[in-house]
Amino acid sequence: MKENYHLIKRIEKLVISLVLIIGVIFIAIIILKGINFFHKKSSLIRTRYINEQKILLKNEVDRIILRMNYMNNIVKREKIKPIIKNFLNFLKSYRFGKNKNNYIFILELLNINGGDKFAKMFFNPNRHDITGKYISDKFKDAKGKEFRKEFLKGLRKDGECFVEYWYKKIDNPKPSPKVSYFKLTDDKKYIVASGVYLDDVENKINLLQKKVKQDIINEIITVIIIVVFTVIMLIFIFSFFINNIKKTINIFMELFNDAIINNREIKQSSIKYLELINIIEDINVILQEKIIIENELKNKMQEITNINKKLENYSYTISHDLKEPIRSIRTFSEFILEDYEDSFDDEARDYFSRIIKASTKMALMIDDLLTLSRIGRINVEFSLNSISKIIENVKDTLSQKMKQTNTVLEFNNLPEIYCQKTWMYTVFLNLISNAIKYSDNENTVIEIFYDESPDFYEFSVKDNGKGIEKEQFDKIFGLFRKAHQDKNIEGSGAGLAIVSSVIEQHKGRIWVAWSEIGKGTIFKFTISKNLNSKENI
Amino acid sequence: MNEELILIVEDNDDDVLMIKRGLKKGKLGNPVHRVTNGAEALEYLNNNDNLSKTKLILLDLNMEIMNGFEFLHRRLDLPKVKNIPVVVLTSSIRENDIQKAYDLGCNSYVEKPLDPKKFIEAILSIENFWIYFSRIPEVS
Repeated sequence: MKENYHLIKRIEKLVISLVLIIGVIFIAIIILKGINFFHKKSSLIRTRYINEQKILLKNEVDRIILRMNYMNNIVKREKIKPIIKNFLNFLKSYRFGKNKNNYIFILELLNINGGDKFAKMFFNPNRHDITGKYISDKFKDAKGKEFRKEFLKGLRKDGECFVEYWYKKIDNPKPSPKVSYFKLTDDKKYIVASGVYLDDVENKINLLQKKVKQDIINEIITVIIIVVFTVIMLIFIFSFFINNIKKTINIFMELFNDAIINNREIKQSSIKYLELINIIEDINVILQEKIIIENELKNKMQEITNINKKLENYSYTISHDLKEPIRSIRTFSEFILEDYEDSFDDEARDYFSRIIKASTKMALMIDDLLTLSRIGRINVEFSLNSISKIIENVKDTLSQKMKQTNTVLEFNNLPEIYCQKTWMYTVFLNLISNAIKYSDNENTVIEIFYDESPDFYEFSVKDNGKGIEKEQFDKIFGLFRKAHQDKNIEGSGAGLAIVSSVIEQHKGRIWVAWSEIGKGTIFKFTISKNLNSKENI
Repeated sequence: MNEELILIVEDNDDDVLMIKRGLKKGKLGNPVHRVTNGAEALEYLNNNDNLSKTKLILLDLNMEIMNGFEFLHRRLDLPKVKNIPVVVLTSSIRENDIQKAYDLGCNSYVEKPLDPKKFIEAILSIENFWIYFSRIPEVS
């Protein structure tokens, strides 16, 4: 099934959720960028710091190399040996860097190509234990890296080299990451080196990173506040805009309803939307046409009403004027019979009685025609009536006939329904008196039942009379039709036509539900349940 | 000689015959005067002699020249005529007509029955009510 919805409400929901989603996505991107920036910044800080350290190392080592190269030139002269001792003593206590914990160590190079004895430890202020001992390039650090091969390779190529590796500290047997600078002296006999432990650096880097982190978080918070503020502003502006549209549409609907109800054009000045103004212009064109058509319709209806009135007058006058001569025929026939009865033989008397019967029947037919013409034409007001009471009235009217024919009428639990009382009386009067008339049973039993469906009341009138032939089922509701062409049975033959007409007026229908010759008949008819208002028919 | 006259205002000769036959069956034997429309009735009643002996008017509604309604209407302005009871005797049973006739001051409205026996009965009861009962001296 198609689902209906409010366009404006839907747009409202859509736009607000869009703005919120965009806001959330924006904030997420900002946070991700911040994290990314933080990582880049961190590695930058780290690289810069390490480079600073490397420059420090290089400077220190270069200074030592410079002295060693100088000394090398003069050491060849034996006299200067104490100077070397002095220099080594100096190196023993020499520390540099911010915390004064970096030191210089020197290797005596034996084979620049490496090998188990590629060098001897010449000097290390923290490792007197290995001073003078051979060292191998196959030595691996804590992470399994042969860092000596690496710095040898660098020395062979450039005469200097930075290498990162893991090495234990003096005061801590656990290996720590370290970067060292190695450089060859000019005579290529010594390698001067110095290192710095990076985990000391790491603490500093952490501190720096914390600061950067705080800065980034502050920036992100600022951006989020701006985004949230923007989103709120956007929603606010949008709501204002939507409210404006809502108001305009309400005004439009009011104008439209007013125009439709009062049948006049939409006059407006408060609507500024061109789309709506165009619609209003179109509606006005349609309304103008509608007004013209309705006026025409009104005129036509008035004409029809007038014609109907004329017709009613006409048929009334006709039937009235027709009845006068018929009454005269009948009356004077009877007067003749009364006054001159003795002068007539039986045949003449029979002729007169035939004249009387025929004129009586014609008068009845004219009366019924009059009734029929009135049923369809007058304004009907439906009111709540007890069907049981209506049938009691019918019973009173027919009481004499019922006594004569030994008729029993049975009914109970009949409802109160909206109907036209007199016409409903006519319906039951006709059906019940028909049942009495067309009964050859000595004990006529007429039963009235009642049933209900969602839209209709359904009544059944059952008798145990002569019954009706199947081919007559529909015909009997026609005008001046009788199921039994029995001359002895009175009636114009318009009774069921009147009944059918009344039931149609009550938005129901009537039919022969069952009938068998010699056994009886059931008439069923329905009355609409929706008659509780005044209706013009 | 009974001088209490019944004025029949009726254009249909047949109906006049029936009314007369009915009155003949009654025991009162009032004289009858017949006119064929309202104008003639007014003219007849314009004569003081006629006015004083007329005790009842039987009035048809549908008549040429001046119909029953107009007669009733004119009668409202004639105090002496107004004292004479009027019984409308007609074949119209339109509610409009009935209402209008009573509004114009008719004293009774009777439909001409189709059945001659009932017609005679109606005439007799009209006569009984409006002539016979009105003759009973008032109880002091």
